[in-house]
Amino acid sequence: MTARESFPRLLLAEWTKLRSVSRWVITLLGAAALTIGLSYLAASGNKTNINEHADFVSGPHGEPVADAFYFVHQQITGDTTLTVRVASLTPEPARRAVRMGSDQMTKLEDPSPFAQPAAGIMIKDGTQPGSSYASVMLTAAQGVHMQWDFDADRKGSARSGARWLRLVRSGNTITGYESADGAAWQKIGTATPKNLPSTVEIGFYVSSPAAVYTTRGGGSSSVGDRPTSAQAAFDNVQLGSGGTWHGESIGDNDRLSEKGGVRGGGRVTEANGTYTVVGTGKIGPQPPDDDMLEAALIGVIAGLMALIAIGVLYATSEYRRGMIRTTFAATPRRGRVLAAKAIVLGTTSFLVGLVGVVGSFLLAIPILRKQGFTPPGFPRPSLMDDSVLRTLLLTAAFMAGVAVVGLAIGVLLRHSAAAITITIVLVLGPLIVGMILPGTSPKWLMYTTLAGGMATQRAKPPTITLAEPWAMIGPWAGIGVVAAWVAVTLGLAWWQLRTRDA
Amino acid sequence: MMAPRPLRALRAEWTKLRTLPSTGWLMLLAIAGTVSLGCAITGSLEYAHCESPCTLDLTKLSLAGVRLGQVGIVVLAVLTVTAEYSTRTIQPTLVAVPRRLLVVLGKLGVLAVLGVATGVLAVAGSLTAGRTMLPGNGFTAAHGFPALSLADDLTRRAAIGTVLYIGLITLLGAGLGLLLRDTAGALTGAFALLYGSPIVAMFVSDPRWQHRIDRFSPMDAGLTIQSTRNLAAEHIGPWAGLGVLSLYAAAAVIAGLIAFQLRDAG
Repeated sequence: MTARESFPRLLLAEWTKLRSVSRWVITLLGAAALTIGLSYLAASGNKTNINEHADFVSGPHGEPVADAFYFVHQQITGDTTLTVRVASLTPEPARRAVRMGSDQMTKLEDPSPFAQPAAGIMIKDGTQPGSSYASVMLTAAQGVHMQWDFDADRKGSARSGARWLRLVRSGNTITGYESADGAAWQKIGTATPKNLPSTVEIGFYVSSPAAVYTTRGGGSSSVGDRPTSAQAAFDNVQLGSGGTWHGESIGDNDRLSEKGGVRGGGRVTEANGTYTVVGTGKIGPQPPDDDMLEAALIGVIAGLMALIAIGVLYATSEYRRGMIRTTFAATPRRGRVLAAKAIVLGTTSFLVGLVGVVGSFLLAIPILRKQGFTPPGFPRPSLMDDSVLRTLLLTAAFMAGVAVVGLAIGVLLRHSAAAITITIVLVLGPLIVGMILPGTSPKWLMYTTLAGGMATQRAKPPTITLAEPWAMIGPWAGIGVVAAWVAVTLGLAWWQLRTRDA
Repeated sequence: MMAPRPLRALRAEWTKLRTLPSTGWLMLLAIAGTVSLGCAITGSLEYAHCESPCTLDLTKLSLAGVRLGQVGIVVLAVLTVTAEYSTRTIQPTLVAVPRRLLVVLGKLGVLAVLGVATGVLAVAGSLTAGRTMLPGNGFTAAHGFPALSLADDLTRRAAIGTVLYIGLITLLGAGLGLLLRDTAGALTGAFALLYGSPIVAMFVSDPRWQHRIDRFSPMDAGLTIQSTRNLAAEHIGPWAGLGVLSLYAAAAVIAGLIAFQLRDAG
């Protein structure tokens, strides 16, 4: 028999072993049922009132956004061109650590281009917070950017210092340009904001996002922010028609000025054609850190335990019953047996996990929506969203990966109790320890242990503002850690199978 | 002259456990796990980094290693029961001692003694480590942190409670083993019971539900007795928390006993 013929047969043989033990089949079905059941039960334990005292508004696509800045603007109808020179931009220095209440908090550095102090020009659908816009801006540390509708960003040159900026509206498109001298212009990008009526507000603005401070550890986390302001000078302001400029703070700045921000949200003064503007606030996406999808997948931890038990037993029961000698007599090449086992177990666990997470999603999301997880803070997730699909598939892959690690550890140790204990501790131990450790230190535990795979359950980007340690790393990093464990433990198991008597 | 039957059953179980090399190793693992995680936590604390007023509960932190160390004792308890089934030793055992209640009581008695002995060593090690290391990190009497001492009522209660906690965890594991007769199932069940709830509590944002989970989960409720500061913030009283854990242990042991009485020894 050639190798090509025998491997599918080997897969079939291993699949028959797995499916003919009725206890395992029940446990596999139980893993899916446990996942769905615990998710369903625990969903009613999650409640949020974030929409009631929100610091965000609904953007043009219904997503939660921040829209606060100081805008010097006038109304204009039809196609138009606005050119200014940003002569200077001076952000307010923010302290790295502050005390709020009884907590010592450190500043959260946010590299997002939407989280930088900026001075720029903007075309906006009225002055209502959350309305469509397109803008070109000079940021304090990241050069020139063009942004629109709170999520689109094009990078311009990385220059700092004085910069000429220009926005050209032609019909439904807005094109952004920059220049060093006002003569040679480089195009940055073209925007088509969602709502752009013929009459819009146009002008120049300054924004400066609040500095966010966090502390975590001991099983909890807290977040606070302090408003900051920035000052910029604009000169060579050229607009096709010559109306009068009118300064206005956009967004809810009463809240900001209360906490020690700029009174009234900012100001503008003019001398010899140079406008000096002070502004505060952020323009950009502002999703809450809490993750609705993660809240809907709580049961994964229960299903995972059952899959670990199956994975380990799938290896150790062959040793306990002496079955392994028959197996190796039938297929003397031991590496292939291990590969077949890993493929059969991995595929089965992936499918079981997928049934579990999709079922959890379908059952738990409606409950969460009743408990306050509603727009604008939490747009309704759909199975077709990229982030939802990624989360569900990666979570199922995480469950399958952990089951295969259980199999490999089972082969290595040949002892059910030890292998189950070690695999469970590898997943759960770092979570327990990570909750206690302060600051960002648990990040390294997440990068090195199977617990990092929990990060696959988050649909949102990593954050250190939450108590759960796995929120610190991204989902791809999480699945990467699991894949590395699968590779290393399977490698060790293969090496040991070759060198040790059965 | 032969000793009375219950004593003989006890001695037989003791001999079985004593002669297994894994017993000693697992007890050592439990003690080493507890003491080393406790050392890692107390070693990372610095008075200089603690904001005043510093309200760290040093007794609780020193003893926190039990959350990891209990793994060893759970494995010991489960294996003591289930290994007899996988090796079929259970049949000669029942031939020698036909009264099943005696067999189970013998096992539970020996396990409880081993559990408590492990607990005493682990707690003594953790507190000694805390007592030696903490003053070096600035936690001195001058700063309002007298050295950990059993003379202090609350610390003594935490120490005794932790020893009892380990004893009860041993019984819980043995009960699950009797009930399920299967190493993998009993271990998975025991770990899910102990570690599942604190992880679910991390996901849950509703404080009422967090309160419920902390009140009724065996590990969190049972370890409330380690608290020596800010007791009002705990979700359940110290002894009531151990009570919750003993209910779990009793339920597992009783269900296991009934199953053991009724079922054939396969």
